Amino acid sequence: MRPLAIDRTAAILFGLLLIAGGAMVLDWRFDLVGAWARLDTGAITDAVDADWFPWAAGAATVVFALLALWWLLARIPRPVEGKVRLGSDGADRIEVDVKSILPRLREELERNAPVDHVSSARTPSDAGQLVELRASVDPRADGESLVKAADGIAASVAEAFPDGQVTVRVLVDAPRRPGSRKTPRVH
Amino acid sequence: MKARDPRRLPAATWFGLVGALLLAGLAVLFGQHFAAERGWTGDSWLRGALGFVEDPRPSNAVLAVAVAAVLLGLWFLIAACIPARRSHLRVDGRDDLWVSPRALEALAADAAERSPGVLHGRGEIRRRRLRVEALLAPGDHAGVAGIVQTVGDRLSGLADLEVSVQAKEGTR
Repeated sequence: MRPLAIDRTAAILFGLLLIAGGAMVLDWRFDLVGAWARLDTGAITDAVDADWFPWAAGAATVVFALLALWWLLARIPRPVEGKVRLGSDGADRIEVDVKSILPRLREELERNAPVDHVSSARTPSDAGQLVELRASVDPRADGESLVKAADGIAASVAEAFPDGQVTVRVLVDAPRRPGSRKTPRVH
Repeated sequence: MKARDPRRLPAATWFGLVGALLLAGLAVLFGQHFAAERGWTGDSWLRGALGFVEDPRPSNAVLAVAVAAVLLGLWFLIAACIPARRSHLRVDGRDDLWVSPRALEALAADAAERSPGVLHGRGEIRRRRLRVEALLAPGDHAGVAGIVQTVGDRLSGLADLEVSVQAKEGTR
């Protein structure tokens, strides 16, 4: 799922609408400011009974259904283009598919760092793509070995892509099952 | 495009999902009304639901719905304003290694448990402070300073946290 800019605005709008509707009924019950007394309920029932209302409801159905569908589908993550251009000369150019180097990077991280369950994701960056490697740490690991492994993997990527077309970032998560490696009580 | 810090999804994203479902619900309500007025189905739900506006006083069910709507609306407003939380801490100002607080807690707990005389260790990070709770073996007066040292050594280079140790002696 990816965050949408419209989510915040829409959440504020929905919140205000819900509060307004609820407050109206509470005012009706407890007669706080008399807003309900001034409300002409006859107009609402007249509108619902009017000839045009079913057609308006039909149109609202189509609009709301399309909006809801778009709002749900827009948050599905978009695939990131796999190719990164390494160099070009006139009509010739060299591109590398970043997807092809991911298994290698995952393997290298798992071998060199005290981590397991490595996964990878790609996001567009300044000059090309950023590869994010996520891994669960082994609780017996120390800071030095993690830093050293991250240094090594960053150096190898920087050597292969000197212009920064592909950069790498390591995200270290908690161990998968924190309870499974606890030292047993021995007394 | 600058690479963004790793963050969790903002709360507003989940409320966007709820909002989309509410909108779909409205669409169903209006669609059923349209179908009922055309004579395709039975009575209109919308007409039945709006019947309450002619009541002299709101029924308890309508009041309950109103209270729920106000609470849900407040929740929506709060969620819309909460920024996305960082999921990982940056390691020593570098951009290529990030560690989640839960991972640091696990490392600290393991380091504390490996200190002499410690039976059980637990780590907890709040802001920039790491609190380690250690259960010491009865009669073993291992120094708290030793635990701080071990934990600090284990996390060296990863995070600049203020470590505090709370040690409790276990009962026999």
